[in-house]
Amino acid sequence: MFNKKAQVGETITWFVATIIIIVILAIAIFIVSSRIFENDKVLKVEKIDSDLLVTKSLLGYLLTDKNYDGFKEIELSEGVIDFDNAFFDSVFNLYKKEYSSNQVLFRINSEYEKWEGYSKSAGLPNKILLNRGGLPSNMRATKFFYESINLKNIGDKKKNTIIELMLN
Amino acid sequence: MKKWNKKGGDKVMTLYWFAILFLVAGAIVYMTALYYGKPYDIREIEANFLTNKVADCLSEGGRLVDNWRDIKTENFLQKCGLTFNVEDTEGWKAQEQYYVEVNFRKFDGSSVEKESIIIGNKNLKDFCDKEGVNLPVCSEREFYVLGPRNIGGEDKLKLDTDANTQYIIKIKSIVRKTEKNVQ
Repeated sequence: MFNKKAQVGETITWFVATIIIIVILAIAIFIVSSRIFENDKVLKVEKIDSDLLVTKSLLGYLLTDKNYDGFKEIELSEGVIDFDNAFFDSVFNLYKKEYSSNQVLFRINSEYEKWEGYSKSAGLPNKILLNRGGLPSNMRATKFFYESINLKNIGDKKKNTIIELMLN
Repeated sequence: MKKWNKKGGDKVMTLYWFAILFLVAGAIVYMTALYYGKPYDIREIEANFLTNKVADCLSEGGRLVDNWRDIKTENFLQKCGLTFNVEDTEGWKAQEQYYVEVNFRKFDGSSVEKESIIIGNKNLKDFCDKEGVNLPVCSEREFYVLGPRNIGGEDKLKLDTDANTQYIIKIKSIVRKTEKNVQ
């Protein structure tokens, strides 16, 4: 009698354990088959590294002579760029949905340098702040992208000019 | 008798353990297949590549290419080195999987005497304002560009009359290929 009770108890234990195992597996299968992981399978375009269309717009912007009376190409090497805030805003307004751009930092340099390095190089301006007049102390690079462009088509002098554009 | 019972109980437990083992292993295999069996949806990237390729074809160094007015719907694929050919699967040959539309306008909003370039499956356009996993992926982007600089010839500094005209080019790229990107 005593032995039988023990057997029944053991059977119930294993029966319950089996149910628990099956339930756990069923939950796991349900989670995997549901759409929770759907976004993992959609590869998104990361604009962090580069954005060709923004780069093209920036180049177009830099080449634009707003006081046009015959052609005058902007001399990037002298760092004399007349930034027209309203015009700049309207050009980059094209990307307001994609980037929350309230800050745009722009740097021209003669050779590859990391973003952190603001050192002057070859007499070129090390950094120029567009649009908001001064680098705010609380500026955080939460969202940025840059593109390296070889501007040799503008002139031999600027063969290795790099433009980095940063939206914050 | 007692010995026999023990042996029988062990056998039952062994069978039970094997059953559980197969159940758990089977479930893990099934879940793995379920997750990794789904294809990666790369259509957004493909649409973006297409947009970039079109932008590169039309502009260079912040300006429109010299022959931009010659690029038309009829010769667009050839001039831009693109092909809309796809694999002969899932009925893709019968129904084009791509659509590209390029619109030109001046920065001040006025129109340009240049027809839009429209190529590919026009029906795909209707899905762009709808949301859903099994729908074609649309990419619509714009960029700012100046008119072409050179009118050609040896004098590279001689300017096109269009050289300081400001344009906005809007490129809409759509990729379908639903069957192989979404399940």
